[in-house]
Amino acid sequence: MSKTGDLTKKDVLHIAKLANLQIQDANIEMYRTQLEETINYVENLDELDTSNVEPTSHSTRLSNIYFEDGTKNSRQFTQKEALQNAKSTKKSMFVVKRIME
Amino acid sequence: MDIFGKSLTELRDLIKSNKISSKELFSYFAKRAEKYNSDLNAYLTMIDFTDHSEGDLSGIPIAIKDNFCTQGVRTTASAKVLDSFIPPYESTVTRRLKEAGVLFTGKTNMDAWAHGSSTETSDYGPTKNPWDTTRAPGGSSGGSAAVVSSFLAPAAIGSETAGSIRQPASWCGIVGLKPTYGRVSRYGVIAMGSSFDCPGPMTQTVEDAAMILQVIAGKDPYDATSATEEVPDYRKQMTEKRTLTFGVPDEYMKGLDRDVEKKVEESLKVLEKLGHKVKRVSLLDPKYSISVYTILQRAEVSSNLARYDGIRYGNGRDAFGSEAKRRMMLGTYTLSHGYYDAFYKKAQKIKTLIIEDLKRVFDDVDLIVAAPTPMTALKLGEFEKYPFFGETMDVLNEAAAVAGTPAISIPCGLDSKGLPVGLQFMGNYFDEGTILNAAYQFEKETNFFDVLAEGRKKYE
Repeated sequence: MSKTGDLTKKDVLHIAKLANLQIQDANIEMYRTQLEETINYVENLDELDTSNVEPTSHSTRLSNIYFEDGTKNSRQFTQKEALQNAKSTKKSMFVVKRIME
Repeated sequence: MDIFGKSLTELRDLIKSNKISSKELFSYFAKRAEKYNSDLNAYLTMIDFTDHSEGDLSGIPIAIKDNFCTQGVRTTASAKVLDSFIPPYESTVTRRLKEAGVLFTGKTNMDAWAHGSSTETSDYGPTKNPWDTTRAPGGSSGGSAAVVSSFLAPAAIGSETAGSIRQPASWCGIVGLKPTYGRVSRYGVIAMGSSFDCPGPMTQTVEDAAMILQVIAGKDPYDATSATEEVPDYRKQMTEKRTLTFGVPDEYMKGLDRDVEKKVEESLKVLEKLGHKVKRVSLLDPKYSISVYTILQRAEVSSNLARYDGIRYGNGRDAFGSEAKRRMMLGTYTLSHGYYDAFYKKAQKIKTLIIEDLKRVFDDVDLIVAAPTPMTALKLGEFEKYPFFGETMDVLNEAAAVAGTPAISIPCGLDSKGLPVGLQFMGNYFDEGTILNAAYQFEKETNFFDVLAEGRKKYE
């Protein structure tokens, strides 16, 4: 994959796979064009010199937020609550696809 | 009793003096929704009357955007992936409102996952703009803006990542406040861009916005990014007699629709008449904010939407619409091996430049004034003409979104098509008080040119 916006169909399928998304063959070209268009646009950032600039993640620079030891976690779900929206459960557990043989 | 058009503040007084019961008030809005919602498609889910707590907003009905988890009430973020999702917990914003005595009228339509600026990407069909039902209400908080504009609720909660409160507020002729990032907890808000998302009030008056912000603002142990700064008395700050300096960025006056430009210029005259100082300032070209926003937000979307697997709740990943897929794929690309430095880290560095740029201007002025969006409400479907539709509509909103600074959109008149035009005040970090102060002065002077009364005549 190249940064200069020459995305291939293969790239699109690879990205879709990484994102765990199914893309229909008929739509590959649409996504390819749209992604390329966006990538070309955001390359205007190269016009700005950032060689001595630190990156910002949290806008007001908060860091290291902890709970006090022993804080009661009232967010904790009961098992029933945790499972109430699942489509498939068994013995009070989520059913998932087998990933190992 | 004639309730039509009453502000949240007025309704609160009526309830406090027992002139109307909370049940009567609730059923007034429920009936209006029954009458008008089939046309507007602003509500996705209606909520029944329940008992309420006693507090500052006892018995006040408020509409909630459908990306706030409401315990026991379906919450979809307008996405079919969450079609049947019933949250087992309450978001901090809705919990605080409930504790203050608020009743929820219903959950409002939005762009699916809040990805959009017109409410047309909703998996449940677009919301119509009450001013002209052939037009979009803006988005993503389009349903919230439409219910306030058509008085199906006296106020609503919206959320903004970049423009999703200010732009629909502007297109629907109401007040929309985006607080400082971290001022209001994101806990229980279906995450979109976690370093941007801000819940905020969408109201008929500035005082109503101040009152709601007072209830929802403040540190929340369940949102580690929420701010520890003390919450001031917003209504007190709002009413202080102040003379302010406003900066008008040249870069933000370019490319505006002629009517929008004219209304902003007229508003500057109003500010001067009120004794304020208005001066020209210069900011980084907003096109860079678009790029920073696009990179960071898509990356965060790809990470936030990765959790939807249909195992613990909701439907599988095949239920995503094309806009969500597009955003996840771009984010996945920019975060992938070999591209992180070129895109994500670069964007975070320019975020630093945007913050420094705004801080430099705020050393000189109290508030920055601009339009919230370059155009008034577009026709439904018209967004397809714009390749960067959302980004184009929100070009004037993205600096504050990227920096995490607060801003408000208020009505400032009508364009030649008779559609509402918005005015934006941007403030420094945690300076919602000054924003509210200026907006309140503007409202007292102009009564917002009676914009809202004009737009909702047909809903009386």
